[in-house]
Amino acid sequence: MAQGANSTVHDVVIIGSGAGGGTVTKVLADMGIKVLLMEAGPMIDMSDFKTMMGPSDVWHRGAGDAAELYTEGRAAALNYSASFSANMADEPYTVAPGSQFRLFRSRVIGGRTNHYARVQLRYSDYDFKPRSMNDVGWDWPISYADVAPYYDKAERLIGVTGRPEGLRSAPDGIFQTPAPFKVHEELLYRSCAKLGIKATSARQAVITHALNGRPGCIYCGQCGRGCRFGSNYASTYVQIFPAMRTGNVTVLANAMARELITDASGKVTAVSYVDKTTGTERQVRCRTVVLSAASCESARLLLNSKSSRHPDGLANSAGQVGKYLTDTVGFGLSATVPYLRGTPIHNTDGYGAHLYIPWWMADRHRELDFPLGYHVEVGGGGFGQPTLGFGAQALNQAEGYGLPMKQAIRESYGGINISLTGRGSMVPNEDSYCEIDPEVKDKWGIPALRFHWKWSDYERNQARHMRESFRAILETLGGTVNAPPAGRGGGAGARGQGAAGRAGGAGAAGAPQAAAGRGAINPPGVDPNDDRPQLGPGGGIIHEVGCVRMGDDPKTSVLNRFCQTHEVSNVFSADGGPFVSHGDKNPTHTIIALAWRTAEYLAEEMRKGNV
Amino acid sequence: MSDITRRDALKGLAVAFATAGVIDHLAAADAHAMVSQITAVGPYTPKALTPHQYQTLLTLTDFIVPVENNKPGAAQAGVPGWIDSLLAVNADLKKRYVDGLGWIDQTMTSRHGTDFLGGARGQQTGLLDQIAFQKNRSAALDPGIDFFILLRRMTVDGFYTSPIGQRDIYPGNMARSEFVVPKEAMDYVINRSPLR
Repeated sequence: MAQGANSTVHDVVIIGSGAGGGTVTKVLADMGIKVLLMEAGPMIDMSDFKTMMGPSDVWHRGAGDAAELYTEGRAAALNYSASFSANMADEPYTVAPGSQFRLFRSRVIGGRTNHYARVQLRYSDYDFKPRSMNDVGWDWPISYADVAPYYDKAERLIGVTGRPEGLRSAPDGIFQTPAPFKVHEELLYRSCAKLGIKATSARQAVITHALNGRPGCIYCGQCGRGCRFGSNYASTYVQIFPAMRTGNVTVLANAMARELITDASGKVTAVSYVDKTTGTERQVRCRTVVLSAASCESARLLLNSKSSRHPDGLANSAGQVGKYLTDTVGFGLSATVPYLRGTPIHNTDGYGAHLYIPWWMADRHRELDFPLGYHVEVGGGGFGQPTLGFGAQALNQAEGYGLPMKQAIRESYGGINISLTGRGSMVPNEDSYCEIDPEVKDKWGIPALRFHWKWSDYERNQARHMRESFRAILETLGGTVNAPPAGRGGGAGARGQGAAGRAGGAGAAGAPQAAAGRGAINPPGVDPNDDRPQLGPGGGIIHEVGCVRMGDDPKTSVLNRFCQTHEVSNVFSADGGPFVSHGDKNPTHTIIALAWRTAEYLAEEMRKGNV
Repeated sequence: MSDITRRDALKGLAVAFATAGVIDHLAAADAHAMVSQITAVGPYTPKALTPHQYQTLLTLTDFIVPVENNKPGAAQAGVPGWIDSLLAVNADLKKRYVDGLGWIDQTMTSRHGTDFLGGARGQQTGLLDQIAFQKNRSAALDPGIDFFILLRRMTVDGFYTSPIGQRDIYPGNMARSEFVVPKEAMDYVINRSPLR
């Protein structure tokens, strides 16, 4: 396939095809602007998604090619997830001593948008202004009002479920009708109400009514596998495939960007990359370039783009690239709810969670010992897809065979746990950043990232509040909390449905969740009297933002308020990199809105001849 | 661009389209349609077991997960064939089955003068009722009990992960035009909660 003749100068080269890159691609292609979209992973199509599959689609069903499950106890993973995870051998990164960090990368067209949990929340006014409103961190140079029209555009394209509530911590959008609460969610809704907390319908990037040629959801609950029907958001089929149909998009897949090449004037003229299929080094020439490789990878590209004019990397003379990396604070708690046993068996798949809890103390944060809040995602109950090992509890407790055995299995079927998972703001700090490792390179010789990470008291205290709040909510609905003893963490809070026999890899995120902290009693250096939950490694929630931050002052930021680098006018950022703060919400929706705004600005600057 | 209906999107996928709110998703008729699809391929030729061993296995799985009302059991769900295909790739596992099936035949013979297949139903269940319960452990019965634990585990596994067996219990992995929670299920839980 044509990969761009060496002499072609592409108007726009976009590096990375996730939420940001997909958005810029579609916005520009729809305007008639020709773009080249570079993606480190392969191209796929809808038939690659394992929607509606089950164990019997693999002959051994999880027992393994040598049936080793039954002689050695090792199950073979049935990997339904749409995450094409980069492997450490080919693409290493390092973590500085004393830090804990995990970087998850999905190398495929659409990136992590294929398998993320589809939580789609607008940032609130305060999420953009933590300094003026909560006395911590830094304000964005822009505000909710600047981004709101782009949230509108994003929702009109993508479709997001939700119920308007008029809550400051949950700005209302253009919503599609949400699905009704599941049984355990109705319990949570009432329990929260009793405690004065307003829960509401989940705001998911899933359409319940046909939109823009995509059919409404069929409620199979397998968003993490990628949607074969296109009923949820992935940049892959909501933006990139439609953009390709305009004829204005060239996709360069299996292309690992190495660095940005500049000319004597300091502007970027080409992107050097490795063609992974042949291992050869190539270049594409560009008039402008958009970095959408994900926050840390975009920072890596800038830092690796050294020249005499940019000795510390591109757009880095202020030393801000890689700095103030943040991730979401994650903590989870679950409870056993005995009276769920015996619930009439029914289809509980839906589109994942149908309820969530917005932050309820936004206007009362001064009463707390932490400045920034969190929202809560939920899971529980459920009748999951049988996998090998199904009914094990019944087989252990009720021996025998035949119809009585089947009845025992039926009676033990269904999850009786309810879980709450906090997803909270983090205050950017000087000890959390990425840089280039002085020695380690990836398999193509590109210098790798090294991570530094620290959680502060802001986040640890917030996690303690999560634990107390979740305990209250779960006990109010009659649950018995499955809490680890004080001093042990609740881990990063894997979002589980607690359903017996849930198909492997079909969890909400479809990607590995951090387990660090869980089971570790008072790691070295931790005060044994500190009863706050331990938090997992940075990056464990897979919401890394920052490192390429925007700001009005070039001495303390990399980008201007339109996500254009201060130093090099033809370089733009459209992923989580520009985030100045980490809101109490997942970043995807804001990445899309910002990228849309940036794409329109870029197009206007090109039209005016400024880039 | 014209809107794509759910039905259009599902063309090409063999997915039952459930009517919203119906709890019993797969009528017996559909189950039998799936069975006849499987059996239409022809009788299964065992890869690991002898025909006699395979037939014994089939009969045993039929006891473990029998036909229930009109719903198919392990035999119709293809469980013995699945087990046999696993035995064909694991010599250790195959030996356990060959030894276990042999033990059953020998025990039946020494008790009733016939192999398992030739026994009367009451003789067959008499033996199974013993080896299906660990309280009956003894030097004489241990090999049978140990084998039955493995056999039952794999029969249950094979049944509920088969397309037919999945439908016996699991109402999900279906295409629905609407997500509804049956009132019966919601009432059951709410009435038992402290929040009614």
